[in-house]
Amino acid sequence: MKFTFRSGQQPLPGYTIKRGIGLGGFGEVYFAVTDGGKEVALKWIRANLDIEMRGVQQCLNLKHPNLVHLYDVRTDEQGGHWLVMEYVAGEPLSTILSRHPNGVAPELAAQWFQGLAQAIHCLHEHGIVHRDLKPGNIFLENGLIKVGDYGLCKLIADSQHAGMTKDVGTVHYMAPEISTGNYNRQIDIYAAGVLLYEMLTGHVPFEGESAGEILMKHLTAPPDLSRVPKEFVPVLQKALTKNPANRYATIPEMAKEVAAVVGVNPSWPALKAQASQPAPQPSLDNYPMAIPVTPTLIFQQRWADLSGILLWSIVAAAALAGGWTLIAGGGDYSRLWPLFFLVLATSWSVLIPSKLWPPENEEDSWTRRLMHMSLGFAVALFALWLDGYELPAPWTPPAQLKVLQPWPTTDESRQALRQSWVGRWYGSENSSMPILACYLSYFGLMFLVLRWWKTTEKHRSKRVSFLALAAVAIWAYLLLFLLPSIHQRELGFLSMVMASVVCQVTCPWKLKVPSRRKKLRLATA
Amino acid sequence: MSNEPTAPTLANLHEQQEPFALWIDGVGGYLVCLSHRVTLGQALTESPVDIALIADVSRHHATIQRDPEGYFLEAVRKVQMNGKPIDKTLLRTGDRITLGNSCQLQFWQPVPVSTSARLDIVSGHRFAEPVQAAILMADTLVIGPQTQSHIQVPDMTQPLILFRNKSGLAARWPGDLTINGRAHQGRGPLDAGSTLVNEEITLALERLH
Repeated sequence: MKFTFRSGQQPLPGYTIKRGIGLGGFGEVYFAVTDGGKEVALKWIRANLDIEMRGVQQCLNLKHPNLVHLYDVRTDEQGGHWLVMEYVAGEPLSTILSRHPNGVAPELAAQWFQGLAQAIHCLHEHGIVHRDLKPGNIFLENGLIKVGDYGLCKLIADSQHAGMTKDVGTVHYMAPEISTGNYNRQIDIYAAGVLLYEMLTGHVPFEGESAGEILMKHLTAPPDLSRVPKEFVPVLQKALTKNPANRYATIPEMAKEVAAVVGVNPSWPALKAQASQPAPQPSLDNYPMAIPVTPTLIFQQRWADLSGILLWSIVAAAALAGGWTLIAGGGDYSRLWPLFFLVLATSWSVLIPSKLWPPENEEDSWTRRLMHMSLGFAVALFALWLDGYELPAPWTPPAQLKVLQPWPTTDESRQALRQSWVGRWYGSENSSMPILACYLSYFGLMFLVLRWWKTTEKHRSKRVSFLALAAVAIWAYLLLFLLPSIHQRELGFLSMVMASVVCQVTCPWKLKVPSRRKKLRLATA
Repeated sequence: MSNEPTAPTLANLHEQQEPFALWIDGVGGYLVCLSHRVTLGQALTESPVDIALIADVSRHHATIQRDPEGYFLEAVRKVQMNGKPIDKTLLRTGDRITLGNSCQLQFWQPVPVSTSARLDIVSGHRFAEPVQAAILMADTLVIGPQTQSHIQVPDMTQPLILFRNKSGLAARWPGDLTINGRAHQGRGPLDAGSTLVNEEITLALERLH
């Protein structure tokens, strides 16, 4: 091989040639190192060759692992064009096949074919037909197929007559319709078929003494498929059909059948050419990090979290109420159960809505407050019942009720109120405020004013915040002072403080970002 | 280039020559080590080793010493030969040397009449220099068409032999040779920086350090 430039020369400023790599039909390829140390392949196209560089420009920014990347197009002082390309350290397929005169193992051929097909698919997707697929343009670097010499297709088309007389190598891969000037992507599929044939057998399907003889065979003779492993015969038959309309419409179609022959399932990420088929459902295998999070899933997960918290809150409420009864209440167990149930009811009415609240409405403070308040009313009725008042039902006979004393007004109106079912439990004799109103106000305001859900959030500054407890205690004390009709003042106060403790103790707490949920971890493991 | 001081005998002075790169058009690039003792290690900015590897190995990971009995591999850090951990061992053609956990080299002595050897990386790693292989050149370096060549060039009809003589390196070829633009018949002197051309091959020697 005689190269124009020698090792150490810098025909293109910034690039030092180390050695020649090969001589192509339209230029010399050199291995060079840039001043910065990047290894590149330089293709020199002599100034006198009328080459269409627009085709190269179209390919300059293509990116695909199976394509030899093009970095730049430069012109030297003599007017010569230089194509700066990725240097592929591996061997061309032609060298490998010359070492395997009877072809490589079908599994290996099929694997290499997948890489080749990926590269061709990328070109076709970008509207580029390679037109010069041959073993000399395909490289194997660390097991990865790299297809090069694309983008200069126009030149090949123009200098085709020269190629037909001089370079016999290329005609082995020429589809019959090229004789009619037809250069669509079908010629690449034909060439891919020839390459697969050659990888499997070590021979091209049509051999001959001259380019003309080979071209004639491409046009007329059926390929001899007796040499290929029989499971590949249908694929090759279709790929090497003379009529381009009867070949595979797209290269992924062919690649899938080749893969099926050896029983592997290749991944073809974007099959735009087969848009008529339904898009595959996203599965965990393809998208390990992106499981679709449905509202149902969120709710189920939250419900699972919540049920654990509720169980623990029972334990915590029992411990607090029991402890208080023992230490401060002097062992008066008649007060234990009301306290326990009231703490539990209060804490659950905080926990349940807080934990099930949709995250997208997290900042909607007033809706949350009103929501808690309505639950507070329910707790108020429960407290009323625990304090010994029977909750009214319209059908309950008045005589069986433990009658709440109405507030002092005139005797008549008091009498009238007492007659009605509302009045029976509505007021207290020794207070200026109705009992029900007091209870409802106390529990309702406790929930309305304080942002209880803050103490249940996973990311809070401390597990148990004494500031939050103090706020509850102060507010409860203030309300009890303003609403003197609460029957069991101690119970009302304690239930609030203890509920706040229960909520904070039972809700999981973390300072850092939570790890992925267990369900997902298992799915991706 | 050896790091360890050796007695300055005439033979040692002759041995102490720096590695050079051999670029052969259409064939490849090779790192040629002339010293009888070559060190292997990680490629660093100021690499102290003769054969620098871009791999997860130590600064100085192993040493290969050429003795009259053959090539000895000495481990400085974790080295395995053919899968077995070793400290020091005699190398035979085809042996696989693993430096660290992943970087694997294969040792070849393809020419029976020459003690020169060749090291190929088989694990997908690479040398710091953009070369295909390292050649531990003892007496001769055979570039020829047969498989029994240090560098096989299938297109050649007969071998080109690089050899050592008293003044340094020289080339032998049955025909006309052009070295640095000067015509030679049969043989001619070479040094780092030379370009050699004959009717079948073009090569260049490049000083590396």
